[in-house]
Amino acid sequence: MLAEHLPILHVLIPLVGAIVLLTGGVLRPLREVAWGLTMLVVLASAVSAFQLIPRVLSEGRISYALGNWKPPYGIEYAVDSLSLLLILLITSLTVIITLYTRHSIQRDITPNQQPYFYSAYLLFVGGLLGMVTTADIFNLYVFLEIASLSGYALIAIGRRREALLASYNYLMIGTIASTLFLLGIGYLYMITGTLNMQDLQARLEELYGSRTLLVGMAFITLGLSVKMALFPLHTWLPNAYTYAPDAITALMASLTTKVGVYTAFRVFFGVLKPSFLSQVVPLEEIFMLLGALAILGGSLMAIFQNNLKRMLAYSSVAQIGYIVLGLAMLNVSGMMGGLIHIVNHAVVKAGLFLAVGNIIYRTGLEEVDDLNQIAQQMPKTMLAFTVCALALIGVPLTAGFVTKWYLVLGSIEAGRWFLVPVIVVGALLAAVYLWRIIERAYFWSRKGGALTPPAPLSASREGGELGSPSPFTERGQGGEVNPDPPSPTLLPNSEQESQSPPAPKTSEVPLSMLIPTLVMAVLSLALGIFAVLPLNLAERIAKSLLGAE
Amino acid sequence: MLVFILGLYMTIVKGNLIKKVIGLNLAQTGVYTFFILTAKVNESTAPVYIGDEVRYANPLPQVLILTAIVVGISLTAFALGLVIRIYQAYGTIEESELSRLVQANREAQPSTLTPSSSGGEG
Repeated sequence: MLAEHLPILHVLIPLVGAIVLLTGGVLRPLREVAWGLTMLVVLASAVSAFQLIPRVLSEGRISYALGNWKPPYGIEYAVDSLSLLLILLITSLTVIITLYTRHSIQRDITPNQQPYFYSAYLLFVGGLLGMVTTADIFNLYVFLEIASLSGYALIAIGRRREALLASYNYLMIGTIASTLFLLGIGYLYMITGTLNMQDLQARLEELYGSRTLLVGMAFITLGLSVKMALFPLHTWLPNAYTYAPDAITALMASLTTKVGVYTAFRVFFGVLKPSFLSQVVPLEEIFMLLGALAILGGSLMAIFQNNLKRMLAYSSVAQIGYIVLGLAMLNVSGMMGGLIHIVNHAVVKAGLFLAVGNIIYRTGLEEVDDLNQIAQQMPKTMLAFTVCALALIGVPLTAGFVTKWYLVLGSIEAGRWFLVPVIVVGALLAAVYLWRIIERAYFWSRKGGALTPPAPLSASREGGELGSPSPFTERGQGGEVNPDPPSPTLLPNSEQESQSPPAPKTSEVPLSMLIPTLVMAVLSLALGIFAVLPLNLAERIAKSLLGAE
Repeated sequence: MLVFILGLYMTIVKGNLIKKVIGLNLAQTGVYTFFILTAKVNESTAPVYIGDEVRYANPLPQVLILTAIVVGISLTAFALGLVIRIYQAYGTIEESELSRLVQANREAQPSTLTPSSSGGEG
């Protein structure tokens, strides 16, 4: 009996869990187990999501009529391979990050408030899962608001008082965006009289010239662009990510914008058909331009940030650019690149933010300049950070490489050669801003002066980068790349033993925080080496999305 | 639509955080009325079954908007709660003063806010 309700279980479980935690938060005993309960809920949700895999792979789209009202009239939930990808991503990342929250959140809130925190947390996850599962566009709006509202709350929990302002600004921008989205839905409903996405797709095809549709789509596109932080509309993102609690930053950075992108995929290929993009409105070109701008602009701004989390936040803006670029190419390779980048970037960025969270948890340092020799203090964290950084840059054998490969292929297929240098330069810029951290963490002496390259700050930054455009050798054997090898006593044991006399003893974070970080690092490697599995799935999705042509 | 634009204008122009929330509400109300208007059928009555065949307004948008209103309420409640917290933390809710404070704060050492009593839980 449970099996037939499978398509909705993974949404319901977190939502019910949220309510239980909220109402039960009054009771003292529940406060103690809030984290355990959350973990249980998240795990259950993940288990039910994984049960979906064989069915979706064999049957294709699974439809579920909510409350037994037949699809075009009632609200339909549907899981196809695109939603499946996102559902798996969300549930598994949430499990890992929930593990992480246990210790990391203690600095941000008192134990009394933990049930409420986890309640908002579960609501957030439930909202995201609902968004990727529903097949009803108004229902999507409702889940969007659930996820956003709890997201605002989660950001406001942050330690600094700036978190409140960040949350408020995000709330203003986010609400205007979703109101625009709602308005757009209104227009679509006005001309079609339906809210079911499949139904919309069928009915809209004759109406492609209609001005009402154009206006509606304009509103929807605008709203979604804000939600996924597409380049000129990304202003809410850096502050929100910087001041949110560390675990929440990891969660939001990896999931919120991705789900926004998913919604864009859904709307453009599930509600409209690809022909609309290419024939009626040159939206394709606009998105491509914006994507390219996002890559360059986001990366450039990331280079000039000194706050770790803010830097990674700007890098997120750039990465969204890659995904949008993939979406806009309208061919299978580009689309695959975009889709896989959703997964890869979520994993990699979560890993990076978790590693940064570890550093902040242990040392309280948030500025890039303070990170000298941090690798000696926290070797495992920095190892994870380095692996994820490499994956973000796109070094072969890591997750980022697969994506960029397909994006380059896609842009060549689409005949848009100018995008290839953009993608490559984007990767180089990513290398610049990430290398800054790695260099300091491994090679600089604690006293602030440059240990390895005795050059001024900016010059060494440039030189370290341009001298070796593919900095994938600094782990352990980094000495041979650097023009001036550091004293060999420091480096080799900075990774494993870390008991070298000049540095203080290793003080790693609690295991519950270390394990998720390492898992992310391993995953970002695994996604690069065993890329076949996600590639197959992504190819299926890309073909089915474009197949309507 | 006019109400929507008015509200939007208000959220952008007003410096007072609470007034911004009001503007947001106005904008949302504009969208609600837009939805309700799409449901209007000429010479129709309320969608209540009274025995005869009558024209009636499409009830679906109204139901949708009911949901949207609930969303709007929770948003407003949360936004106002947030404004209170901002007031507690900064002592003002004027945007110009806030940005001045933030600026001054950035130049000085970034101070940390101790986790105080009321966490926002939406």
